[in-house]
Amino acid sequence: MITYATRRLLLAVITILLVTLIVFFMVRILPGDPLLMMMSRDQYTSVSPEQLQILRHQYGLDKPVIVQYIRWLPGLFHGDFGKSTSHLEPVSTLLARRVPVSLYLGLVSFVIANILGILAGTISALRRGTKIDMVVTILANIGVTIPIFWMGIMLIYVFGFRLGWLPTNGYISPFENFWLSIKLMIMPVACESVFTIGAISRQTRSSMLEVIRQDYIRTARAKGLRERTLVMRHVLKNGLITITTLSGMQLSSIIGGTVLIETVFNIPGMGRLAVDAVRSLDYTVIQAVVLLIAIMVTSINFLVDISYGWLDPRIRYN
Amino acid sequence: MSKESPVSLSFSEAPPRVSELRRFTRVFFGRKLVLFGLIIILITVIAAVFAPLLAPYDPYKPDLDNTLLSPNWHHLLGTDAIGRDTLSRLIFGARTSMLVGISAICIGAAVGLTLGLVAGYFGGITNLIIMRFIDALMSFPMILFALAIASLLGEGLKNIIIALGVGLVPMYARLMCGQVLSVKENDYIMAGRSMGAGNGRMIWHHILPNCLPPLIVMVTLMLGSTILAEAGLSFLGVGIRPPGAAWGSMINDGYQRIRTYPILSFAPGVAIMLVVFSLNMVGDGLRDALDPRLRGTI
Repeated sequence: MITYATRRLLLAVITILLVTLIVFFMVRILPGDPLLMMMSRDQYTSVSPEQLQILRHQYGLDKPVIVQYIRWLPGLFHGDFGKSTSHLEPVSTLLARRVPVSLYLGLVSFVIANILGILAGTISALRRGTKIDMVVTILANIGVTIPIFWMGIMLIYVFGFRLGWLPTNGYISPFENFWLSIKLMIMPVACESVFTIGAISRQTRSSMLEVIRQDYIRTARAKGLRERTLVMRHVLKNGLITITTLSGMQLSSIIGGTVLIETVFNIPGMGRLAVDAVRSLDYTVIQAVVLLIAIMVTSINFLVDISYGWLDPRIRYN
Repeated sequence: MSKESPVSLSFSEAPPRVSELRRFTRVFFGRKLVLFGLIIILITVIAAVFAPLLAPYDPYKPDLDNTLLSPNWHHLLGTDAIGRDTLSRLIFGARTSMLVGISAICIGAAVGLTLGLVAGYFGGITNLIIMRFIDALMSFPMILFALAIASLLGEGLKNIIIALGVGLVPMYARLMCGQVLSVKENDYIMAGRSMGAGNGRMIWHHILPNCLPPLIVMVTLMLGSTILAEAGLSFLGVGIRPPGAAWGSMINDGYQRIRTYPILSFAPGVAIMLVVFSLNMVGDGLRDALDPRLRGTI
């Protein structure tokens, strides 16, 4: 297990390095001047070419790209992401304020999505061919189909404006006003989790059906095991292996979804930050958010891999 | 718990062999949802191709005498804030969605499948480098990655297509690589090699023809999620420039007036859902109908 974990850790570190490489070069390979990253478009057009040349030298942009990369990389580990051109403060302080909001919403959605998804998928598989199965399957298919931002808008219309049950947008920390915070979170969390609920319940259903056909389940049934023990200990545990991989992948889609959901519900998280940065062409912020999210996803995938090896010992020796 | 235990299925004797085509038609067309999906896709494709002929009004021209109309006989889905006919814009939006979705998939598949092929065929260090790179690409959520690329490239349909296409690359590369690795295990590959076939011949005549068919389904399966991503991007305002019609940006326009004219947001959202749902249903149907593990059964 330790060899397996070390190997995985090494791969994760390499992946993260490659991620920094991609993000760094993405900004430089694509058309556009990296100096634009340091200043706003207005500033950029108003300075003279000589001044630009001096700035270029100051920021080391006249050096080969590889040298630039090697200089840029160590800064990241100290949390130095540069300065935002639109917010006029270091990107790291911005991130420190915005990331926890997204993480909070994302993790709550992730947990809820897993619980509901696995539950629905299990029920659907065990009651295969019944009405419940049909309803769950159709709902799951709608879940992976519905545009989450549209769902948000429709929820706002129905529960916010028509029924007046829930506040329509905004964010407040649960430490400040717990009940209001919960009320504000209901709709965003529903939207962020809906796709994952659908995806996980579909996967759970099919992998459980797969497991149910195995010989060892027949054996367990033949020896007179109670149905509940059978489902919990044999079917679900073996089915969980494929579900774990999927749910790790889903975390990435939940984090991606924050971009849309935080825009719809006006939540000051990092998704909103990225969208605002795109609108104001604030490349430093875009770079930092993309980088941070990719690193998070890689770390999560690493954890998934580890738990995968722990759940299914066969993997470790492969 | 369940009355008829699914276990009993595996006890039954081997089912009678049926021809490939008959099995395909039976499984594929036997599902009502697949038929439903096919009809919706057909309607969308027709709408996209013949948009200028089908749309009752000009989708771009403002008509300030008829703003924010509720659905009526002249404007079946009403009009928006500057009097453009919602139905016409929906029809033209189908064009945008299909164009972006299909083009992005072509780009993603061309690049991704090639990378996967090279990585899988040559193996070793080539595989290691390409697949690590693909892993890194995979850790960017697609919508965020496309957003970042689109912001760097600037607005416009072409750039959205590129951005989404690049976002699709890792998925295709992975699938292809796995496929090549499994095809490589076959005896005929060894035979070809021992007869002195070069790399080019091996790839074109032996590896590729055996890898592609199962992947074609996977390639089409992604169309639904690509259209969803495109809608998301145009909702965020990165994508087609106004006054161009895209479903995502129509939802955003409607969002400004959600309180009083919910239909402006409602209609394009339903269109997206119907199309994506249909594509997923047809994709699932294709996958099950072509599943090699079920070959020869009903």
